[in-house]
Amino acid sequence: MSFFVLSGLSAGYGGRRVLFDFDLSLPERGLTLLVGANGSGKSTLFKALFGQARVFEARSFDFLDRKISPGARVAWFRRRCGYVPQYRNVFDSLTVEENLSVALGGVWRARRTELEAVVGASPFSRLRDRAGNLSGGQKHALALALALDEDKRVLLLDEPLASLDGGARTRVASIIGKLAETKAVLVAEHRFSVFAGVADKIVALKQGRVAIVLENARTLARDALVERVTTALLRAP
Amino acid sequence: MSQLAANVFYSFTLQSLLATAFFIWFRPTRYFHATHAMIAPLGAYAAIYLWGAETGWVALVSALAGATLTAAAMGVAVEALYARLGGGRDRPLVILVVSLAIYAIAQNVLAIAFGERIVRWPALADAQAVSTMGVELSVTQVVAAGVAIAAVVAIWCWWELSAAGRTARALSDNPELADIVGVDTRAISRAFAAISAGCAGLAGVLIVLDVGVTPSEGFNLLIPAITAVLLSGARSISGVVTGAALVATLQGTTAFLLGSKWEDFVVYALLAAILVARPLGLQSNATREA
Repeated sequence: MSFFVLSGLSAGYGGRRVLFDFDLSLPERGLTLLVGANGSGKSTLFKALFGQARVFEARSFDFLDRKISPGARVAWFRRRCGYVPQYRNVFDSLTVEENLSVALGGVWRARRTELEAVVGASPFSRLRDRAGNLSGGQKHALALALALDEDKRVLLLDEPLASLDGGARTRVASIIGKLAETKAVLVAEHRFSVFAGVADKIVALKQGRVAIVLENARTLARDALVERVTTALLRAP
Repeated sequence: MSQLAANVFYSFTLQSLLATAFFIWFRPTRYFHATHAMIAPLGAYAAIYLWGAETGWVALVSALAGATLTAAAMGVAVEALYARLGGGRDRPLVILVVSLAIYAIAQNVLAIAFGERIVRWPALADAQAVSTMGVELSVTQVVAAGVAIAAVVAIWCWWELSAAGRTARALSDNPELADIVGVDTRAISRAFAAISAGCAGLAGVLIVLDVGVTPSEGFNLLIPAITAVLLSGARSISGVVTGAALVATLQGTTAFLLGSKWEDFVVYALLAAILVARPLGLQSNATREA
């Protein structure tokens, strides 16, 4: 049984298509890595799913073998998927506590230990501070926490390591690996070396089209993985 | 001097209410809609139409409630109309043009129905003036200032302390993220529109009790409010109230030193200076070059 299958998605902005005939299937748990250069369509995929980019076509969208009708897709995604955008992924003018209350409701307090175990205690030590005053790593950890609604079984992360320094990058990558043990996690990254060897599946995009899909990516040696993806991206038209 | 201070304070209370009303709409949408200028006069004329033949406390309380609800209903209707407008990147311009058209229509309807002359509704004219420490204010002015302060404090409590206000601030801060985390942005936008227009309508009644209004009064009431909001950087209600205090002080001092015909001029000049230097407010990072 497939957990999450999307086929034939074409999307873009205004009259311009950025993503062409895109297919994706996600397992119930595990990390799927979406790689490609800036402008290859990674963010457009996420935005299209959340109704923030235009969908030109989408052949089908199935969840647990149940078809989700086109009119219900955006509402479905908002209900079932956590999404962490690349930029502006916390409410800067609200305190950390207010951010958590808006995104997760009052129940976040009961789940605090669980959330701290996943994203770390750092943002929770600054509950009364405005989110805009947090460090880059703390902001990313908070942004991940905002997406951890119990009902959301799929997590979409757009360039989660962007603008982080080495230490924070390793910490956030480790949090994401932990999340993938219980959820279907789709990560868009243009520098995929951090997740190579951790990702269960890799999808490489070039100019809005799939260049290669590597299933069982963990079984491949890191160097071989990097070479196959790089070669596919170079050869793709 | 103490009378000047009292007059400035009275003006400040009404400016605060008008500015808070404008802020509640402007903060989340970041677009200027001219129809907002018509809502205070609409509230004033609604009060006159429904209760203008009566005077006294019962009529006044009924008028305040009725005009607030009427204005709130208009705000929701206008917001629903804007929500249907397209325009893509030009959407703020489309809304400005449509809102100017609605403003012109509403102004003409009020002029046809009530005439162009100044209309006052001295609902508490029989009450004695309040006089203390060399300051004299009419009961109407004391009531108007009290109602305006109570309304601004109530909105501040809603905005800063309630769960609904927190969600509203989240939407104002980052509409896309609010959408992503599941905030019902349409419902919150309607609430913004109702509260903003309701406050403007309430201010309209308070103004018609004392100085009166005309159908073309709208922008004269709105521009000091816009100036106060932009002075504050449009970030918080406490900032907006501070901006309103500065505007009221500037107007009052100018009227005292140069005469009342200059008080609007200085506000227009200040607004023009802010828009040239910092289009999104004095505390924003956006300059003309940016």
